[in-house]
Amino acid sequence: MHNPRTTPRFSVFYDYRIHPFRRPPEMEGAAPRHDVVIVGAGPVGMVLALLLARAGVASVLIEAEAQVSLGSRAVALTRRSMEIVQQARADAPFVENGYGWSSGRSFYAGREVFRMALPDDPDERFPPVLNNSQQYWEEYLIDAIAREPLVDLRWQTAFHSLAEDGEGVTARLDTPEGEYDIRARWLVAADGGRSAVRHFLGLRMEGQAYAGKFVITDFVSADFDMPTERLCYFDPDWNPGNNVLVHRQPNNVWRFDYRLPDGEDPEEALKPETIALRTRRIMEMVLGREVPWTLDWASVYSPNTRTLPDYRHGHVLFVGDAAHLLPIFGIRGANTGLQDAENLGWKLAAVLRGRAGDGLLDSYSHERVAAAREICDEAGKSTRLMDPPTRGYRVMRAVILSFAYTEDFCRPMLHWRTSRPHDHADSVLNAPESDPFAGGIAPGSVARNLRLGPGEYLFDHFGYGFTLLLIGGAADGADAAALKARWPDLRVVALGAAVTGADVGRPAPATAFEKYGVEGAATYLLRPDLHVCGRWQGLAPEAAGAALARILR
Amino acid sequence: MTTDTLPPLAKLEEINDLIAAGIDRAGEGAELFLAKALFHLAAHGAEVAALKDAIEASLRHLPAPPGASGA
Repeated sequence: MHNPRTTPRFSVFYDYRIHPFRRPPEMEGAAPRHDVVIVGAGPVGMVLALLLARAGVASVLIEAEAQVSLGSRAVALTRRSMEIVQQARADAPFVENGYGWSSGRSFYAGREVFRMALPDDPDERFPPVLNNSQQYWEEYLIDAIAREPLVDLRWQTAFHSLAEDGEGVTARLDTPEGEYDIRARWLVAADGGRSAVRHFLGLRMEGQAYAGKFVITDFVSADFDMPTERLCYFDPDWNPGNNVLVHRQPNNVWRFDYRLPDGEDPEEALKPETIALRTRRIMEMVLGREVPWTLDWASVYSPNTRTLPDYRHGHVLFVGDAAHLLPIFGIRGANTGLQDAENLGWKLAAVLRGRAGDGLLDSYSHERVAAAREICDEAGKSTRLMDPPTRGYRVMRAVILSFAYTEDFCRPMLHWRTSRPHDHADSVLNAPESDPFAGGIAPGSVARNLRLGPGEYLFDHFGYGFTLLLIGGAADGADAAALKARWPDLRVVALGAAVTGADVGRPAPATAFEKYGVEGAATYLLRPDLHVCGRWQGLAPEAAGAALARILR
Repeated sequence: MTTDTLPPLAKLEEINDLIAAGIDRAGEGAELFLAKALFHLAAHGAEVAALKDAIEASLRHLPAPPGASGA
């Protein structure tokens, strides 16, 4: 019998709500086959459920716990993540309540040695990064799900086991009132780093686990007053050879991440008196004095750069931390998981709606495993600086920091390589490049937003289906009505182009020509996850239609 | 050095990985390994003036030697 904690977790700033268990139809004798069961209602599982709903697919979302997660965890969402949350139609409270930031500074022995500004321009709707505690991210998504009839969120329901049954999967679930079986065409494991589904299937990850241990502390302080940016302190006096990260959150909540001295017992590190001493030392380092503060949450973790080699196993698919484990340096965990969800959602919907064969799901695994491997490689570089795995890397860390005082050439090594979208340049879904482009966005890369007017942006007009984007060439004109008739979910957006059948027509902003590499006119076919599928010179809806026909019936 | 002439990050990362791996392979002989590598590099391409610059830049911000506290 599964009995999760049903008393609210402790927090000095967040009021945890207990979500009750409700008996599902399966416990009353019904045995429907659901299209999708998602295991795990963290940010990735919830966004996937909302995206599926936007594509017209119902899902059952099960969550073992009775309340949202503990601690700030995925504290920082990137712009790319916010674009995904916008597609899930849940972005408003994220923006309203989060703290945006666009820069960071690194310090060594009390001196600033590196400053980085993240790319930003007026064409962007969202800031480069948005900070808030994960409890709030989850709360906003739960609220969005409550408005969505196609998502059946079942609390206090744990995954127990599964079996392939010919038409999909039958999973055994465990609840406070006993076990039941649920049948689904597809099961998605979004159940985090300790995925019960992954363990049940006996799947092993490839990659590297690092030995260093890091403490995360969330504390509330009205007097710890610093700007919202990413701060990194290398080799503080009280912790030589290690580092401290500082992140600001709303509600006067702050987060310190610091590496423990080698050999220190994590239990010792989490003792209140140890945390109190280190918090005081960090405040003295950052502010010059200790100010009043109250601890909210603390935890210990070790970095990993590991991934499953395949995210599809029969009718079971893996997303987020269930599929890969990534270090926090560069804010990659949830931000990578949300890109998994966006990539999988439209493909799963296309398969379930009979628009594509299930081979399309293999492209999910191919694209996202490649992304995870690239991210592991990138994250590994950051992690070897933050948590040097050998004597050689410890020496080189000292070299980089020592040179950072005086030598410009070495400072880029302090860049923390913030999470960025992977280019699916070798995707089988990309249309071959037949026309030369000088710049612009190549197939496999992510589309770029454009400001169309006050408070109006290009991505606002996209749904969660394919988009035909036609830019320039107003005098030529084009007809997209035939494509709309064949694929009713296709959105046709015309910027400065006269297009019959367009859903949206606007003048083309000047930046559209530069960002999309357009000289006279151009046509882009964008996938539902905003990656470019193909592009052509001139207004060429027929060519785009041929490319789309390779993917969707 | 101006930002226009900075080596690209990918090159720095490759250099970093190669030297780190060399130190690990050298084990207790790391100091000798590093001196040999620098000598080899300088003898096969670098101008003596550039070597002097590199040595001077590298001598800055070294930890104080044992017994030199308070110096």
